[in-house]
Amino acid sequence: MKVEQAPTVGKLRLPAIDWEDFIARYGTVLALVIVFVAFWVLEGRFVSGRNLLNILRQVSTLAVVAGGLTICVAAGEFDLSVGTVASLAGILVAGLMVRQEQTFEVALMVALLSGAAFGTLFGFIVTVFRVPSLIATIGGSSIALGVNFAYAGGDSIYGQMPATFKFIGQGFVGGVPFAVILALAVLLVQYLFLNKTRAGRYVIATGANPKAAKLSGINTERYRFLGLVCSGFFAALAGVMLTSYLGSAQPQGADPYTMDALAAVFLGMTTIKRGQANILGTLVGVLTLGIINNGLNMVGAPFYLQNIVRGGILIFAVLLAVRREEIRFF
Amino acid sequence: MSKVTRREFLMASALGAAGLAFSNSVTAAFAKDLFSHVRPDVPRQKKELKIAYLCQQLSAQSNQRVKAGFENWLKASGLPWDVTVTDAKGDPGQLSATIEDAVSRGVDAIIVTFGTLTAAQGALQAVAKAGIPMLSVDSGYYPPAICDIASNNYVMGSHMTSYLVQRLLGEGKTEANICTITANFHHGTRKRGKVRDAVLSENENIKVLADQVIQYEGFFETTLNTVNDWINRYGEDIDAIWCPWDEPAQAAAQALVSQGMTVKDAFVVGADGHPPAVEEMRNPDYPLVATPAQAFELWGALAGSFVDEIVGKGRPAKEVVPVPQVDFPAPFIVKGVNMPPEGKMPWETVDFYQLFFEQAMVKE
Repeated sequence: MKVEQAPTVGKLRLPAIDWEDFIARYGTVLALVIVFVAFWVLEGRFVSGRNLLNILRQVSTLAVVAGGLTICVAAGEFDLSVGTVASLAGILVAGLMVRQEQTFEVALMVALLSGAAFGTLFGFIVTVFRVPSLIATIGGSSIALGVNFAYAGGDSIYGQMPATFKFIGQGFVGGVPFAVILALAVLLVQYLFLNKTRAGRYVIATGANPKAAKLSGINTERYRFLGLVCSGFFAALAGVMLTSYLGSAQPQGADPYTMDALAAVFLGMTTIKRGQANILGTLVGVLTLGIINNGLNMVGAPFYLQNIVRGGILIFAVLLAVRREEIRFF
Repeated sequence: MSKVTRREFLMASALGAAGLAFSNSVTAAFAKDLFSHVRPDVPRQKKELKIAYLCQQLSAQSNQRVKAGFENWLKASGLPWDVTVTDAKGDPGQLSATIEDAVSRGVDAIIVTFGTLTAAQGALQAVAKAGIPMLSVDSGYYPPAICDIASNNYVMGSHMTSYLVQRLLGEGKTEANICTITANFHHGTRKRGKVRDAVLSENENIKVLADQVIQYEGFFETTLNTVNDWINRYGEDIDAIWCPWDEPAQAAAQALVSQGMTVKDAFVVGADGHPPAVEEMRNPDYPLVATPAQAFELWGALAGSFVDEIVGKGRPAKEVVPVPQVDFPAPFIVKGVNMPPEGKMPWETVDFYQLFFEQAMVKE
């Protein structure tokens, strides 16, 4: 590690900056800034207030599901069902309001409970029967899709939905989309949970080194269980937000969130707290994905570049982290 | 002059276009009793058949509507068929596997809806080898299918794009800017897109500002986000948005509305005539202005009746369906001109042939 000698100003000695460490820690953030500036240079309207709010609006749903997944990954587990669980919640909330004529509150409660229920099921399978979460959630993803189709017959759900519900995804507060405010509030809660509560610290300890955590007296099964429940619950909340945003429920509308949320979490693990899933890092990951998608549209880039650039950035960022041994998968 | 009903017109056109050799009883039953659910007095040879009904993407409205048409027809006909429905969830490989599974089960007939049959060559060979009659719905024609039932997507693409051009000119926009959404994963949307490009190439006064190719997965959100991005970049320079079917068109319209734009600022054209989209079109400010209405429910019913004729009654397939592509007309709906009456299916609207015919011929 290269440490520069601390510069002095008169008799005052300034703290030394380890530039290599700084770049390693904040390289992803710097890359985000560079990408942002590049799009700004290429298309001035990219930084208009309207477009910046547009970007925040577009990533708000992903931020909620990725935040929940962050807690799960921090506990050392994977959840590959977040997309289908979000789709199920989206279908349930719309179906209950439109087809069963339930109130918004009842529909919301059932939708959120469906996510928590899937998380609980996965937690049970993973911690009691010791099935790897990767497998349990792949299987569970298929079950969620099956339940989705069993409920709605695979059909999209359109119809009159209460104004309160529409406000979640389409409303504004002081010119700011409510979905953005909601997502920030959720991320704040997730951040406080992981960093300022004992349970959150135990989640991180469990994910960082389960054996050491167990030897320290932490009930690691409980926190792995909790991680999966959080992931399911926030996926369901994201599904509700998506349905409100779209104004209709699409049976597989949230399915792409699985890959996007994983990408955001992995990108986040390369920054702020390297090698560890963390909410601020995930926020950087979510913003990176959103800015790339929006920026490429704004500069009129061919559609296929979105996939190539997104995939390339993800692989490159994780590759660097793996080479520095900050992330280890298997 | 006696008026021809929408349903009668569609029936006559479909039969004429395909040169179908229906028996009188089948034609009458189809036209008269399709959705009545009751037909106890018609003598039928009630042969029990095992039918594999295979969907490529059951979560699509089009798939749902064809299935509903088939099921309603079956219920109305009272035939004791054992129908197994499967959904490949958009995966061509999975569709191929479900076709092979149907062959292994030894079903009496296979109906494939919206299938990517180009990616099912091995499975189709197995069907041919087993000699199982197979029909497809909006999958493009591939042997050994007896036929494919669909709208003519070249015609639809032409209707949509020509109308877009004409509406822009009608608004006095001799120079106009449009954005386009393209979907190549289905043969129908792909053909509409190709015809769109051909029509636009003859109208160089219209500039395509941006194009986004979408996949089925997450298409609604992708379209919504992309159109929002376009509005932020091009603002009021956008005069129209072309969408390959109604659901992306609804997403595009929603993006325009959310940014305070109405049909006066920019309009959207779609395709399919899905009831939720057509209901939205009743709002005068809603940007979606035109859509060809495909008769999905009738396709499902027609597929059922073909199986009944060929497998149930043993009539020669070539006699029942002499041509491999059964093209159903899709009446073109334009907001404020020929919206279907409320409570009617969109394809039951009075189409432009009838409108012009009445304009030209009916004199009080």
